[in-house]
Amino acid sequence: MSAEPAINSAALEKIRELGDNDLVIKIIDLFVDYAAAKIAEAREASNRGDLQAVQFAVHPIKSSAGNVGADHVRAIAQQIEKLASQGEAGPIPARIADLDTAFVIARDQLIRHRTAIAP
Amino acid sequence: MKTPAIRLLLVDDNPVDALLAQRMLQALGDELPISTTWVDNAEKAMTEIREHPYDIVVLDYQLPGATGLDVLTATKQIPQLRRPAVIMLTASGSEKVAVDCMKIGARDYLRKDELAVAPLTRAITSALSQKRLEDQVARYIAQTGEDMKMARQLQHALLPQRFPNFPAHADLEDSALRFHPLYISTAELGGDFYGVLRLSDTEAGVFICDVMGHGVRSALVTAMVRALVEELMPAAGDPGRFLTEMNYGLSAILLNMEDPLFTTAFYLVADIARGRIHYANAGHPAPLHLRTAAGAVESLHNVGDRKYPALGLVDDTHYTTTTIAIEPRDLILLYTDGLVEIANASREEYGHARLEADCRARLGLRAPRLLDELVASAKKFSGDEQFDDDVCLLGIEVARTGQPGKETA
Repeated sequence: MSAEPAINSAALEKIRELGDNDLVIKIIDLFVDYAAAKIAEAREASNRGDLQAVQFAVHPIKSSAGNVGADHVRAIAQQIEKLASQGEAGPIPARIADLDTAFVIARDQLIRHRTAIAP
Repeated sequence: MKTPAIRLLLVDDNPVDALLAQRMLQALGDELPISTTWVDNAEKAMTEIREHPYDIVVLDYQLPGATGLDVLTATKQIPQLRRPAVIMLTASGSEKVAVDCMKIGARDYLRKDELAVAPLTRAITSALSQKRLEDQVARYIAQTGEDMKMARQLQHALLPQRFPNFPAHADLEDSALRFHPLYISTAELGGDFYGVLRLSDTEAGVFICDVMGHGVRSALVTAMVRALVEELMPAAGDPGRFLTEMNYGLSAILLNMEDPLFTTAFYLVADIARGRIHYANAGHPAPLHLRTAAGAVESLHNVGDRKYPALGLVDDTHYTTTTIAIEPRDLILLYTDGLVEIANASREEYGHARLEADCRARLGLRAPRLLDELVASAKKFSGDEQFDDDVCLLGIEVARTGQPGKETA
């Protein structure tokens, strides 16, 4: 496994600067739920061969992952969106599995961060 | 004084991005106070935009049920002064879509994954100043349109709403002279005007003019001319003197203008008792004398075929009076150049000669029908249903001549 951190902490710091740790906690909670739901949507869409729905599901992950500093999650979401838009169904299930893995790593790190800053 | 808050609608189905955007908008603080409403789909956005006045819509392109493009298109249906400025939100890799949205009216776009206070401030400030400028232009155009509409109504109100009968106690059918106008105005303010004066029970003064150009300038000069017509009543029995004095009065004003401004004019006095008309012409198209009994149509040229300049060009011009005889059933047709200058596809004008020929072919028609047929003929010639210029025709039917009690009909 890469030693590179799953979360770019500068992104979380930017969020904190906008408000306080409460805002960071809210954003982490929202992201964790939202991205998990969207990845599940993408998987289901891929299983039924609906590439447009795959594209629609992964598209919003890109920006929210970028905003919380989950750069690897964002990069994989972008690749899947591109594959889906080009009609390349073959590699998509494997990439969704990669996305899920990257998300779990990022999520765990975000939750650790959340625990550290929670009052 | 506290600046009123900018009303902003945030349209984004992604709760993470939406919360961040809201916090960024709050962070703009008192310098750019913003009241934000957040909706998470296109349908709610369209309802909000229809029902509430927003200054700015920050709009995600990809939404459940519809795209941001649908919302953007819906905003285009809203009148300018209530239409919000739209800033698109796009994910990375969707810049082309954002640019396409800008082509159909979005003011700006921001990448959602790089959303920050500074670019958000810049985009909102820029979109608002653009919108304020466009609103100013829209208000100005609306105000000008209203002013022009009122000016056209006023201009029409300056024209005679009814005509005198001769003698005064006669009804229209028994009047020795009958007047029939036909005025077709273009969308612009024009400079055509006519008026009829009662000089006595057996004398009528008839004036027609066409101020050069269109628009406010021409309309103002027309109003001046109308005022002068009233003021010059003492000279109204003598057409040459009437135009000479009117020219003097107009020149005093128009020659001070930076750009030349003038009006062509024709004035006649119909003397029923003596069976004559006296007239003077200041650069105006020569009216036509339809001599029904003689079966002839003649142009009312000045004596010696002399030409005189339009009013307002040369202040010391002396216009001379020409006199001709008239008979019962004659018709005098006064007109402005809008009728004869209508052109066909080969840019050939309908012209005075065709008008004369059309009148000759219609000798004996009553004025209302004659005027309608002349307009129809000019339109048929041009192949166009619209005139480029105002068209003003005034037909004077001579029903009787001679001293009262000894008239010839």
